[in-house]
This record gives sequence, C-alpha cells and structure tokens, in this order.
Amino acid sequence: MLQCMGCHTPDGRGEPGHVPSIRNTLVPFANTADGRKFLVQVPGSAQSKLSDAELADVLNWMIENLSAIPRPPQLRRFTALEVAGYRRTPLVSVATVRARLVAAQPTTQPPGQSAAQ
Amino acid sequence: MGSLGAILVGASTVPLLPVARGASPADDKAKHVNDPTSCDYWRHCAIDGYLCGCCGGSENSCPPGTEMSAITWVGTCHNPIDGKDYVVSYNDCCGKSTCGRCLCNRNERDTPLYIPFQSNDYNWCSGSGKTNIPYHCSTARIVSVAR
Amino acid sequence: MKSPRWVLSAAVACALLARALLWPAAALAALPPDPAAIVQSLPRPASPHWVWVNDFVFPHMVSGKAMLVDGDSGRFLGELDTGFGSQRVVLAPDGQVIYSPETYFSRGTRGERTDVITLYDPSHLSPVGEIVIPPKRSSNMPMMSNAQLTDDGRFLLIYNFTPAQSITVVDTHSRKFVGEVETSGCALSFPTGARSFFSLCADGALLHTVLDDTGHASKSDRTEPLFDVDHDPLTEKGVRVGDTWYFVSFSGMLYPFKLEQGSVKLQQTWPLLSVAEKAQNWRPGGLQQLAVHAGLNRLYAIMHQGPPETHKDPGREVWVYDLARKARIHKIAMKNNSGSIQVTRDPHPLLFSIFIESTVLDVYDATTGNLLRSVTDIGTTPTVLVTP
Repeated sequence: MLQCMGCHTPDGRGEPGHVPSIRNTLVPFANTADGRKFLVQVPGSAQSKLSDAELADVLNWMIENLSAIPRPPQLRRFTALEVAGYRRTPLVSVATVRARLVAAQPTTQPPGQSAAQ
Repeated sequence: MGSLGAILVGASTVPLLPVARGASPADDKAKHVNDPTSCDYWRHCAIDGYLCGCCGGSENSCPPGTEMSAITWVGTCHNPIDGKDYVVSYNDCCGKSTCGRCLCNRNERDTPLYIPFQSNDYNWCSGSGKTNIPYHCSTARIVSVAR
Repeated sequence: MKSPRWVLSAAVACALLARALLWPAAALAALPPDPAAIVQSLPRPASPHWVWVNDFVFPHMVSGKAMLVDGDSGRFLGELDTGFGSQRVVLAPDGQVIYSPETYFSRGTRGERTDVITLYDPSHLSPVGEIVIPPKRSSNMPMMSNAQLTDDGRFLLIYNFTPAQSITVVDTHSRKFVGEVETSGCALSFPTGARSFFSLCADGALLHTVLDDTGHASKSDRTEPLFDVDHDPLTEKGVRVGDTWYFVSFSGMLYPFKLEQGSVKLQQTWPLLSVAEKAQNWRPGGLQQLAVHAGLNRLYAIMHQGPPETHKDPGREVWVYDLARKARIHKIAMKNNSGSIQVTRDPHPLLFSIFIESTVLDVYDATTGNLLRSVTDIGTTPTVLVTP
C-alpha cells in the first residue's frame, strides 16, 4: 500500500488522464499470460521492496479487494515462483504494452463505464 | 517540495544553520512535536514545502480554493504519543501560488527522484485541473499504521 | 519621506559656487542629453567565466528566471524570464542560441497549461522562437539532468513526470517536437554519445537509450542493478568528464559510469572520505553538489558534517580530487554555506558557489581556493549553475 497508493490512490482508481485505474483491468489482465506478466513487470511491482512471495500476495489481495470485476473462480492465484520468473525482465514501455493489452481484451470495463484511459 | 529550510519570504533572508530542518533544541522540540504548525510536528518527518496549517488548511485539509492532489509521496513517521509508526501521505494542495508561510523540509527516508514514491523533491501537484503544477502547500495525512 | 528640497537646493548652490570659485575662468558646459533608448547587448562568444544562475523562485514560482553574471567583473549582465517551475537553461555548444524549457498558465497560476522550449538570442537575451511540447515537464527541485542536449547538439531531452516517466525529445534543427521516449521506472537523462543517454532506475539499474536520426528511440538497454538503492543510493547529481559520468552515493562513495562500446559500464568505485572522516560524520551534500574540470581531470564535492539523511544539506568546504589518482588534493574553505557549485571549463577556472537560502554568488579561483569576489542580490532561491 505504502509504495503504490501514492500514485494509484488507495482504492486503485488512479487519476483520470494521468494514472490509469487498475480496478477494471486487474482481472482481465490476470486472465492472460501477457497480462499476468505485465502486472508483475510494471515498475511499481517489479521495483517494489516486496519479495517475490510478498508481491504475489499483494497481487492476489488486489484482485480480491480492489477489482471492480469479481475474480472468476478458475483464475489462478499468483505464486512466488511465477512472480520471480516475470520479474527478471523489467518493463520500460509501460504505456505501449498496456495499450496493447487493453486493445486485445474483448471488454475490460463493467457495462456503463467509459473505456477511455 | 522545496528543500529550502525556513526562508523568510518578503524580508531579507536570514541564513540558517545547515542542520536537519526541524531539529530544534531538545526542549523546544518536545514542545513542538505535537504542534501541526511546527516543522517538528511528528507527522512532518519527510515533508517538504509550506505547511497547509499555516495557509488556511490543516494537516489534513486544503485551504479554500485549492485542490488536493491525489498523487503524492509518503513517509513513515513515529508518533511519540502512542509509540506507533504511521504511514503519512503528504498530499499537496494545488492551484494557487505558493503559500509562503511555514516552510519545512525534512528528509527521513527520502529517496532521489528516480525512486518517486518516497521522493519529496517532486512537485506532486501534477494532475488534471487545478492540481496541474501550481503548488500551494503540503498536508500530512495519516493513511494507516505502518506494519 | 518628505524631501527637504531647500536643503538640496542649498547644497547644489554651494557646490556650484565652490566650483565657480575654483575655476573662475569659464562657465561649465552642461552635460548633453543621453541618446534615447539605448539597450545593451552581449558580446559573442560568451566568456568562459560567465555563469547562468537558475532560479525557480519558490515563493513565486510563476516568475522563474535565469540570471547571467560575469565571474571576472562581478557584474550582473542580464536575465531571462523562464516561466513556471523552471529548472535550467541549456546552452547550444556553438553559442548561437539558448534553450529554455518553460511552463505557462493562461491566467498566471491557473488556466490552460502550455509547455514550451523557448529559444533565446544569446546577445539580446530575447526570445527568437518557441517549440510547443507536451505539458508534462516534471516539476521538481531543479537538476541539470531535467534538460539536456545530445552530444551532437541536435536533440533536447526533457524529463516528464505525470507520474508516468518519459523523456520528451525535441529536434533543435527543425525546431519541432519529435516524440516521447518511455522510461517507466527510470528518471532524468544523462547524455552518453552523439545521440544516446541513460536514465537512473528505481532498482539501481541504468536504462540506456539510443536515438536514431529522427530522434526516435532505436535501441534501449537496461543494465542489472549497479548500486544499492536500499542502503546507499546515488544522488541524481552526476557530472561528466569525457565518456565517464560520476555520481556520489549518500555515504560518499564515487561511482564512475563509462560508455564502452555503446553501453554503460560501472567502473571501480572509490570513497571520497577516509574511514576517520566518515566516523566524524563528514558526508557530501547539496543541490548541485559536484562539479568537474575536464582539462585538469578534477572533481569538486561540497562536504559537511551531519547525521545520515543530510544528503541535501549545504557545506562549508569543497573537497577537490584528482580523478586519475583517485585522491583528494585540496580542501577549499567556503566563506558561506555552499549548496550549488560549478567550475568553468577554461585552463584558469573559476569555482562558483551559491546556496538556495542566500542570494550571494561567491566566486573563487578554482585552483588556489581564494575567494575573488562576491556578487549580491542574485535572485530569490538560486538553484543550479550553468557555464558555457
């Protein structure tokens, strides 16, 4: 929380036009291999002071508590091993990769909300 | 932001001793550690800027006509009253010229610009609307007990 | 205050009478009127002993400025007004133009924000052009690395923070915004070659970016973490000699990063302080805390005594090092608190020193350490010093 809420805000909704909301993308991203990689590799995750196990716990907690879309029962939880594997490759072009992930989703928003991010 | 110690605005600048800002002599510090308008206030351990309590706001509220920035840096400060450590969020109030009263800079656990979330050298009035850069003053909001 | 005009008139009358008595022969001719509208201009090229003192005017950030002082005469030569949240001017290496990244609001401190690079004529200190850039310039305690020119003098690199991190690239030849290079997790820019630069990353790594002929990123390499961000991070205030950048850590270790075959490599680190000095709590500090002289291969570092986490505190000493021998050769006692230093590039260098809480610019002989002159009333919150 300490390291994330400064920019992502405590409930994850961010700041329109500046910090994207994570509430609507956590579950859709966690549903794809590329998306799961992204969630670990964004600098805020990868460069945080958390250990691989702690980061896995935080990502799982976020999906459970911050996502506007409920976690589907079959969605795999993050493990320390999985996090360690992705984390070795830091991501630099965050906006570019995120835009690609969002475009690849059939829909990332609950009905009635703007997709503009 | 600031890193400027206590500049006297509008008067001739009085040079200050380059000690950690806010480290008054021990007995003064004890008096001020619970005063939100003092640089020695316990929540101000990593603050950098003008104290909103001196500007029409308070340690957790903004002066009239300004807007609180959602993005910010955070510190972990020790409360001597209850002995707990707290996560403190230094949300800036934005949208007006700098307040100019009660300048305070302390750098406990402060990090350089390349580690943003604990860096007080950024002007965190960076966002949309009123929060887009004009910096007025800084609050010191409690987020939670630090674990 | 009511002026005692009769006193003044009497004094003038006495003076004229005295002069008439001393030179009774001829009545003195009156002074001719001055020509109208004389405006000074500066000679080119700039003297190597000039210094631009940048000032973001913290109490009135809308009035940022850069002030030009002649280190040899102590004269204030002129200024540029550089808008909101300014950091530094960038001098074109050929001396023909001065670039200034600036931010303006349509109603002073509110309204629509516009970020620009203003181009100034170095003789007339007047704007000659403007390039609009995305309104994303980072606003922070001014650093030299907020705005840099690539070594070929063509592309301006401006650090953005929204809080997404990127570098705006501007082509100074076509005078156009080229694009943004994403540098997520990494900050600022440090040029390393014709068209390349690195940024410092939150895990202690360096991100090295190479631009192509059009100013777009063609290659990007991230090193492993090269320094310990948890226990002894580097400050952002690096300085450069040739192909090596030097950074100092909070505790006073010097980290040289050298460009070798297109990538940046950490060289052997070495301490700027002895064990005894560390035990006495000496440590480096300041806003622009390091300077170098390339010709003499020397490093200058502001030092103070203080507890940990005083890495932004000013000092009363500047320690001088021979970079080849990795040894300190001199300690210069500063008359006043020093928070920013700069050394001129010529063979007889000056050392400039200023402190953000003071408005006095001190000018030293960089070799002897002698204080040559002090120039008063320099700005409000002076920050970084830029020399030609």
